[in-house]
Amino acid sequence: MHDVINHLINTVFGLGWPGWAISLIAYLLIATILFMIVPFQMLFLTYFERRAIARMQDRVGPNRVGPEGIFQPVADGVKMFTKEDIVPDAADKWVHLIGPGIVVAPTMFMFAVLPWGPGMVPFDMNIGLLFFFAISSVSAVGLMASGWASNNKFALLGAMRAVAQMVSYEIPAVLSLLAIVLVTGSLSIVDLITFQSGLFISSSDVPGIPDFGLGWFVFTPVGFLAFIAFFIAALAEGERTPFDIPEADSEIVAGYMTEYSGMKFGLFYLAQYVLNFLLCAITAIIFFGGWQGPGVGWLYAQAITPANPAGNGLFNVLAGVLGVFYFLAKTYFFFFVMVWVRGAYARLRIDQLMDFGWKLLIPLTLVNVVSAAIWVGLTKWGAADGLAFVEGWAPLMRWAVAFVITLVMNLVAYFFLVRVYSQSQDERARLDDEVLERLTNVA
Amino acid sequence: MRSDRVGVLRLPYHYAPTTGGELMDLLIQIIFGLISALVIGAAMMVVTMRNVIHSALWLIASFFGVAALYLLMEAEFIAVVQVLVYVGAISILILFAIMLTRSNEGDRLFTTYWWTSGLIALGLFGAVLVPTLAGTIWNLPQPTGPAGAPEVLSGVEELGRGFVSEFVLHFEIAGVLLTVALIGAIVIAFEERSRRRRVLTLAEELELRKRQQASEHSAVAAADSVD
Amino acid sequence: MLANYAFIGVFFVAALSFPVIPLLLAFLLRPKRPAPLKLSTYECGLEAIGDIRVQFKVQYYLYALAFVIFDVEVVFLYPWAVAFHKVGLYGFTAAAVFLAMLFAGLIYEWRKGALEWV
Repeated sequence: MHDVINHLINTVFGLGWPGWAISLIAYLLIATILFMIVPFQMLFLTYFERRAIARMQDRVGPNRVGPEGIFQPVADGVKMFTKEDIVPDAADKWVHLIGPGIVVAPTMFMFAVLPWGPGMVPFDMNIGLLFFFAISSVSAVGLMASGWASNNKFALLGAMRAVAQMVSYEIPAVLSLLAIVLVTGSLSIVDLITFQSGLFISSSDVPGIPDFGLGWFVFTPVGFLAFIAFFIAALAEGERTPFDIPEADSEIVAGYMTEYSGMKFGLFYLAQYVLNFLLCAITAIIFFGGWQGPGVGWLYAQAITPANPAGNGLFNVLAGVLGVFYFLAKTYFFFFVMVWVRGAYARLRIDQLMDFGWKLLIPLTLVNVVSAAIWVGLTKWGAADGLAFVEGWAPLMRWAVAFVITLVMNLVAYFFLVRVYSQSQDERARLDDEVLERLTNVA
Repeated sequence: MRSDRVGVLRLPYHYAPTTGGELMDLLIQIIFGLISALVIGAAMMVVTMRNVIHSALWLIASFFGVAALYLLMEAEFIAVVQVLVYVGAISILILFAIMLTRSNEGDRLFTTYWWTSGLIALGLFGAVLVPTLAGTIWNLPQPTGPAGAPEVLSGVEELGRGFVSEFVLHFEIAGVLLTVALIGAIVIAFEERSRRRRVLTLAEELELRKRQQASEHSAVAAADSVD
Repeated sequence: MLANYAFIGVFFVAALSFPVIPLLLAFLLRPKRPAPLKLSTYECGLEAIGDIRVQFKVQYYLYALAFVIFDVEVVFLYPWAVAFHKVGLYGFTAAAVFLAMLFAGLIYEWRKGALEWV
């Protein structure tokens, strides 16, 4: 993408400029374009969520500002800008000010490695996936800072809950991604997407599969389990219902946002929706092929790429448009699922939340890592790696054997762990009962 | 660590900017100066701040600066790990630890002889620093790689192969250490369930009241039957 | 090669300045009429009682500690996962031992009851 922009700048403004100036302009241009798109995504998502959840609750939702209320988010934005900023006397003024900034900036920074379409990635980092999750964990510091600086019990309690929840669900998220990294052998997000071409079977597992852009990870047992675990962890990281304990408004007002008003509150709001968008997008990319879909691969093969410099520029545009369409369609679908979950489930208790993460998701994802290792061994290794017996099998045969073995393994692990988990929950209920028993006898 | 082997980038298109080498070096030096100033300044703030949370926030800023330094040395994996582990995890641990303790914004405890201890500390630091500075060979020549384009290797993959071949013992020992740390933490900080104070939930209180009423009722009934 | 990271640097500065722009704009647009009651701590309309710097329970710390340890272990496993296509059975065994220790730590924590919230 950079050299396309560089080329455009060169042809439009003349060629005499030094390379670094053109690069700088190109970088700033990309950053500006992205940061223009992002708030619009957020505006659309808020409107979409309010309308969708209203439908599920048999209401109408916002319908006054503009036709069908589509300008409601704009009106909300205007309100944010013109609302008075109240900083409590007891608050720590500076930390109170920079708190929302520390929450928003990382979510924006994460866009640096997010691919939107074929060849349309701001920066294809070697370790993009790890970068994405490293930066996402920085937000926790901002939450903690703003919760503490507000000097309010609700705020501090909300911040502590939020951070405890974020750290607990980061482990299952990175462990489920570890399984995917094992299969692809790369941490680059672009590699991850190109790996998922094929038709229900990735063409890198079985060469010769026709490329319909449908070799998604979710069609493998390893990928499916990782997807379920990752999406649940994403719900918790994005503080979506049923994991919205940090801002449980019936318990602790608004959590860490209690003492914020005006644009600072707006920044929290923005960060939350942008983070939700990013989590849905990364789910779509990792497990559902991102921009992969029928036709994109063929279109992109005709386009101007390093491998094919003699291509036609028109196909770049076509592949880009189709790819971005697939990517956004998948992303919005996952956002719809998030809204749907919000409409369907009640909020968890904090002990249930912690138990679910540590006692079910983490063991499950650990087993999944082993499954992924077996999958790679059966589909990729040969005699040189110590697996001589798979050499003679056909690729499809190897794939099928790997599929069956990992499916059985994951199913057994799932049923076993769910049983252990439910036993531990029963045990817990029994212990709680004992406490009551004791109190009854004392009293 | 400006070797060709670590942290080779893969852009979607091979794009190399046509910058003059000297200008680039100057720019890198300026950026390095800025980042190190941030790291050192933030570290100074950590030790001079009165409020312990402010100290912690400055410490996090300092961690971030160190990550930027790693990135400047093209060690991208280490940089990202620095952010993931230090900024994302250790800092949370520090903040939680502060929240666990009671507020203790005390006065600075300076004795009248604080300068003697300062001098001793400075002397000891100098005793370490001066030989190191004197013994270092500055202006190392740039390492020249083998002719032709270097093999594209991402630092991560080399690291991973090293973990299970050359450094397998270190890898396993790290695993043992981490497990020991986990167990040690539980041994020190864990409180048995039976000794924990616990606030009853609303549902439990209701249940308790119901049971108490029932037991009183049955006690009354038992007393009645004795009569 | 280092020039490629320039994008990360530029993007970082842009991301940092992103929240500043709306805050500045709002600073110019919004009214400012502070009142003592407005600036008091919000506690559902009641007077705030006591210090907010309460002592939190040790469970938070235990979870954070477990998180740090698991995080570091996962960081060790990522390079192994990237290199996994080339390490062979020996590499698998080495990491399996590592994973087993991770699992043992988790089971110990569970059996001990350190994963109970209350």
